[in-house]
Amino acid sequence: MTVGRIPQPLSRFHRGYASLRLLVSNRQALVGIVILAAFVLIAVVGPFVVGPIEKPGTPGTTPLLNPSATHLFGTDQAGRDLVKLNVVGAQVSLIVGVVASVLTMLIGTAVGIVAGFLGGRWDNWLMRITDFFYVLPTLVLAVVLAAILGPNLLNVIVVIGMTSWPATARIIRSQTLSIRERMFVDRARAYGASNRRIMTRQILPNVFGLVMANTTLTIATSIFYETTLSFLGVGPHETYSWGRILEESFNAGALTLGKWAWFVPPGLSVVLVVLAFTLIGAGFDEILDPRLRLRGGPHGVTELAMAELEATLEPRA
Amino acid sequence: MGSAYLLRRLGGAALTIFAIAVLNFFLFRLLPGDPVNTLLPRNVSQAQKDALRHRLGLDQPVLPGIIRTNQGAFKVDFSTLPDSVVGNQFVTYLQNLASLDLGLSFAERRPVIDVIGEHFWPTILLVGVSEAVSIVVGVLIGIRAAWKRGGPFDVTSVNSSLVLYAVPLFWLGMLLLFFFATPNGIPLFPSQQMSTPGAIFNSPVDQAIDIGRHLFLPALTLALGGIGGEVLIMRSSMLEALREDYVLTARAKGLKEADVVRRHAVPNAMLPTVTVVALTLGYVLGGAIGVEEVFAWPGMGRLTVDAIHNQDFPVLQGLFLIIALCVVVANLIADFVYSQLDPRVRT
Amino acid sequence: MALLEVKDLTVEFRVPGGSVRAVDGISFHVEAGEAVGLVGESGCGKTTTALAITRLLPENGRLAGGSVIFDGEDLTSLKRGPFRRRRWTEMSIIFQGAMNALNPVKRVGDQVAEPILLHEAGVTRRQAWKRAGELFEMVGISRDRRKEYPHQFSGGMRQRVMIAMALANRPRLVIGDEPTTALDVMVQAQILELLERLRRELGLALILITHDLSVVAETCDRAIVMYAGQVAETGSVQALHDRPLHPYSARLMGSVPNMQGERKLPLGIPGQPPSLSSPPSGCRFHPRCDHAMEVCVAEYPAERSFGALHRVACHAVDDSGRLRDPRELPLIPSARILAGLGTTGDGASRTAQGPVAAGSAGASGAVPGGGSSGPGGGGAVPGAKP
Repeated sequence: MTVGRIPQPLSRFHRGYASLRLLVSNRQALVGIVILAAFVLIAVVGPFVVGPIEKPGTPGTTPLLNPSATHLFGTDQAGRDLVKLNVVGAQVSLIVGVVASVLTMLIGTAVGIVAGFLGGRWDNWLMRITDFFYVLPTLVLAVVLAAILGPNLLNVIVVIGMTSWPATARIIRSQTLSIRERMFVDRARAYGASNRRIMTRQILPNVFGLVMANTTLTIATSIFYETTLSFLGVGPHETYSWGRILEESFNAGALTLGKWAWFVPPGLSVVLVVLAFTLIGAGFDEILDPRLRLRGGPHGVTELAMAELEATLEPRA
Repeated sequence: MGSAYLLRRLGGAALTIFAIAVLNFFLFRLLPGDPVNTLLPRNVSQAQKDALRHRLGLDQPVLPGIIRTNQGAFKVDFSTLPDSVVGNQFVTYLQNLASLDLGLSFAERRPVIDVIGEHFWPTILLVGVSEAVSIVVGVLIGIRAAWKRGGPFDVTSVNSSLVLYAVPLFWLGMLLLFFFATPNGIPLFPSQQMSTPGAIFNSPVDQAIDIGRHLFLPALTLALGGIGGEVLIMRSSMLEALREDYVLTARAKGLKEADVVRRHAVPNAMLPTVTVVALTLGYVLGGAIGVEEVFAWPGMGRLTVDAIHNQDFPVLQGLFLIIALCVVVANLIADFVYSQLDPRVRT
Repeated sequence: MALLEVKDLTVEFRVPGGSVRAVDGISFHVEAGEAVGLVGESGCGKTTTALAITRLLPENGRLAGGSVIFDGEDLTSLKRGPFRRRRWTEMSIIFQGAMNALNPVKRVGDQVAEPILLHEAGVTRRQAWKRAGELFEMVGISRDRRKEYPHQFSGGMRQRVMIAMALANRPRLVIGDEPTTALDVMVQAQILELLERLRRELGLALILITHDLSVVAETCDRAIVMYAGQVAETGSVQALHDRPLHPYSARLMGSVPNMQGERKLPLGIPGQPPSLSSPPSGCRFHPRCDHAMEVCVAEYPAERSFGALHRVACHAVDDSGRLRDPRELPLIPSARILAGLGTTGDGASRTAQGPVAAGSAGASGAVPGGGSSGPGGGGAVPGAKP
């Protein structure tokens, strides 16, 4: 039997570096990384370049200006420069996306590992709950929850985290199940390790790659949710996000006024960032399952012919 | 036979509906502050408040032995026992639910069920039409992309699906509105509502045409949003099916490639697609909120936004319940379709 | 004239970073009504050969050379349409593990009737369905079960359905690709018996692809032994059994436990099949061969005939058609170890305590080189099945 699939005890740094190199060698992922890097740069450096958002009613501001050299995207109904709003929007959207998906991953990974590892009654009940949340119209639940809890940054993050964990929990559970089958968990148990120890020391490091791949996809969803919540008026009210710019542009009649520079840039930004995370996530998936690369090609192969071919390809121990 | 499978699914759905009702109950008990102020209309007299409070059962303990103070905090109070075993808000809520009493809308001062009822069918029409279109088109594109894998058609459809998948639906709606319903583009379609206000129609056909014209852009938006996901899932399950041995058998039998795909790969590839489409329906209904808002489509999504702005919590509570019910029913339909397509669950 | 004539068939697979030659210039023929076994370890190119003949290679595989002549007609030069019309009517194929070879969402009766409707003009649906019923009874399944789905059948029954389907258009050649693997022994025997009976009754030619020599021994007239994409030896089943010439065939024969004879453990083949992406030089078997000499490493042995049908490609076979004793040969060191001759070059040293050759992966497989090199030679050695 081959036991080669058990990850080698590479140092975490080495493993990370190796996957990063693979990720960059994947063309799709590379496009994603470049787009993302650009937006991170805008979010981090941008505010220092463009300066703070003007307070409404500041002398010298004019509302609803068309794009010009001084105001690249024009100004909004309160005379604020739209470039500045979009830069802040990048910050808020990325922060909400990352923090909310960290929360999602924490809940999802915990539920998935516990259900998958402990099995039995734990698995049964946790998966029932997961499936229940999986069926619920998540976005509607998020809207309702945000409306109940009140529109601020923290609540929006909590709402997204609380509603989008089930998919993660399912993926992590099935991965945990397959890891549990492997010998080295039994070996750890023979040494007298507790369940908690096995889960944190044995299972967690082994599902970590999958968690990372999933995180990139969850960030995409979280940004998406934040944008929609903001557009519907239940997003964070204390700051500006791309969704809120879109909400204000819509309510101020930017569509009929023909002010495309008001609603095109924030929407396009969302599309690009979400796309970037999706592409990176897909790249991660391919790295974790190299068969996707090899199997992507052949057409109608019997398992046998493929196995025959693979048997000749695999380096022998 | 297959009825056992469907019966099991039906039981599961009933359980899910009950769980949704329970969740809905507690969700709106999470509201901060005095529940009377958030769950009842403002500017009503104290006597009216008390009457409504009593009618809605808000003067009862929340659960047996658990009361809620006027400040909104929860307290354990065993002195209410044993009356509160039956006489509590949860039981009252379930009783009201059983008689379809979802409370009163603050904004409109009439039963929530009536308000939602008026907005129910427009949403079903919009989501139904767009789902039908996106499933048919998405599945066809997915089949062709998988069949001609790696070719220009495949590359184009995968990439555009990924982009469509990343577009917020309401923003897509705004773009379509801008280009096809305002003078800034080519105003081919009306931008607002479900029918031309004040118009008198000579025949039901004229009326249907008018509704169709109003429906076109919002339905297109939602359909485009759905197509991305459907293309990707159909394509990947087709690729999976095309690798199976029965496809090789079919080819060895001398079937034309088109027949191999149509008769052998597609029926199998449809199975995972049915499941995924049902699961994404919740997402589509969520997306419909924003799209209805953009096109002022008088459906449940628009009502949701209005309820948020008016802090009309009874309506919001009712909406969540009804929309969740729709999703459960849709999943049940998907289960039925699945059982028709897959003999392994039928027999 | 032979029904099927395969000449210099070469198949290559495109793989990441180059190409792999999975079948490398093999030739063989099948007479009408003859049963031929295609034997070898997994990965030797048996299945690939079958897929190449039936033009079912995966997208990354291609026919890199050679010809397939069926009934005097070169199939490789046929256009897609004419070739498709010959599929199933001239030759059909039974795949391994009928679970996936049958479409899970279609009634088995429809799957059997499908090629009849497809290839025979003027046959109605009803007639095809009736014919499917007859085919079912021919393979020993009640015709009432036509309405059922594959998952309602046991493994053996599914394989019967596959056979019924393969016979639907009365082809002249049936290829069975490991048709009985994954079935339990009793069912295996039943299926083989059925195949054998139908073959005789219908006068079919059969190519039986298997790694299991006992299956070939029971069913076939002739066998073709493949190793690493090439033909090592061909001959009648009888000749291969009594007098295998190629050391690989000899080992392969030794891998089959003999029920009748004295109780002894089968001889194994040390090591594993070679990687086809970088095959060994010369004779591809030399790293695992206890007859390997310098010439085996340097050049590929030409195929030579002994008797009417017996052909072999091996340097260690002398001109009289005898596999020479390892002790007579100038063996290379690894072969000396495999042959149990030690590394000192002393022919008399016959202890089996020498170090195990690298690459023989856990096999304790030093074989005492007795006077004969056949299965009867030497004592019990735990076999190392790859």
